[in-house]
Amino acid sequence: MFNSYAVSTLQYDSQLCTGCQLCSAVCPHGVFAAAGRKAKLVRPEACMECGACRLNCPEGAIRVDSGVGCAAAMMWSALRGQKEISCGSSAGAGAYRGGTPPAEIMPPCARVIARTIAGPNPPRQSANKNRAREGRGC
Amino acid sequence: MPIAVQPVSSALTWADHWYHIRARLGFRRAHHRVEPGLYALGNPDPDSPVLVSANYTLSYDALRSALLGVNAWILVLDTHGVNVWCAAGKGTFGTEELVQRIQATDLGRLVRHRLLILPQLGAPGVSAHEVKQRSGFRVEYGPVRAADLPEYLKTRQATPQMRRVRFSIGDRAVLIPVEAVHIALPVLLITAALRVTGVVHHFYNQAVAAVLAGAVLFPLLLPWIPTRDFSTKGYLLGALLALPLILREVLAGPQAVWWRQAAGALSSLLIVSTVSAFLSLNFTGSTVFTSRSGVRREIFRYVPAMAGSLGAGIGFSLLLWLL
Repeated sequence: MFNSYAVSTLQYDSQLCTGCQLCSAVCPHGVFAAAGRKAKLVRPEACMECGACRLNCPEGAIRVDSGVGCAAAMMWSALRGQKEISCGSSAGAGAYRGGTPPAEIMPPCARVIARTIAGPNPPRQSANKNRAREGRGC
Repeated sequence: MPIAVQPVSSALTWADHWYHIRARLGFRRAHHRVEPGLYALGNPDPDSPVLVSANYTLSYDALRSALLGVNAWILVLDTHGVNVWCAAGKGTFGTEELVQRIQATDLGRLVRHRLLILPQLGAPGVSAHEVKQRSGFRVEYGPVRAADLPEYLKTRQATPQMRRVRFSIGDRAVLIPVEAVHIALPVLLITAALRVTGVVHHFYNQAVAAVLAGAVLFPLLLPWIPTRDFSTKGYLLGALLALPLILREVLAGPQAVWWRQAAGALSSLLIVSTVSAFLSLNFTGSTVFTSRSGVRREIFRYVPAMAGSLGAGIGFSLLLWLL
C-alpha cells in the first residue's frame, strides 16, 4: 500500500555471470554483492534502475529498463509530446537534477499525460528530435 | 605538436564560492560550465593518475578541491554543464564522449599508463569494457564522492561505504534554495497579486502553507514522513500544514456561518495538501533512489487524484467567493 517502488525491472541471469564484480562496484545502492565467483542479487528492492550494472556487465547477464526517475521531467516531456524524457530546463543542455518546471506547466489533464508516458504516441514533430535524443532523464 | 593542458589549483577562491552560491540558487542554471579538455593539477608526470570529470562547475570544483597536494591529470568531458550522475543518465557523460575526448586531447601521448579513474556515478553512461576495446584505456570506478578520493588513491580500494550514495539532511537542505527560487517565488507572487487586487484573499495563505510543506519541509523531513510514495507523503505533510488555516476557520467566532466555515476549512485542506503532494512528487528527480518504473506508477496512481482534490478545493473557494 502506498509503495510504488516495491518492484523494479531489474533481471539478473547468474548463469552468465563470470564474477568480474563490476556490477557490485558500480551500484550506488548495494543491490549486488560480490559473493565468491558469482555476483549475488542481495537488495533488488533498492534498485533505482540507473542502468550502471547493465552497461558495465561484459557478459550481458543483467537486464533493466533504465532511466531517470524524475516525475517533473516525465510530465514535462509528456506535455511537450516527447517520447523520450528530458529535463524541464529551457536551455537545450538542461542542467536539471530535480527542481521543478515552472508552475504554468502543471498537468491540466492527467489522462493525456499518462497516455503519453505509456508511450504509444509518437513524438509530435521531428524538430524536437535532436533535443529529445540528447535529453534522457534530468 | 604540444598537447594542450591547462594548469589548475585545488584551492577554491572567494570567486569560486560566490559562483557556487549562485549555482545553488539556480541562477543561470545551464551556464555553470568548465571548458572541456585536459587539466594539470599540481605537477603531474606521465605516471600520474588521470581523473575524469564533467564540465559542470560544481562537479569539477568538488573534484579539484578534494585533491589538495595531489598531482594528477583531470580529463573534463563535455556534458553541457550537467553534473556527472545526471549526464551519465543522459549518456552525455558516456562511452562515446569519453573515447572521443581521449583522442581529441591526445591523452595517450601524455601518459605512460593506460588507466582512467572515473567517478562511480558516471557508470550509468559508460561501458568500461567498450572503452577499453575502443581506446585501450582501462576504466576504474572510484568512489561516489570526490571527498573519498585521497583515501582511494592511496589504497586503490573503494570500501562499501565509499560505494554507497547517501542522501543526508545536508544533501537535502542544499536543494531547497533552487526549489524556492523556481516554485515558491512565482507561486507567492501570483497569489500575493490576487490578494492585493482583492480577487481572492485566502489563496495567499494557502500558497504559503503549501510551499512551506512541499518545497521546504518535505526535502528536510523526507525519511521520516509516513508511507513510501512521495505523493502520499506530500498529502500528509500538506494536511498538517493546513491545520492552522483550518483552525482559524473553525474558531472564527459566533457570528460565522457554519457552511462558510466548512467550505473554507475544506478549501484549505484540499488545496494545501494537493499542492504539497504535487511538489513532493516532483522532488523524486532530486533524490538519489527513485526508479523510473516506480515514478511512472506514482504518476498514474496519484495525478488523477491530485486533479480531483485540487479541483474540489478551488470549487469550495469559488463557492465562498460567489456567495
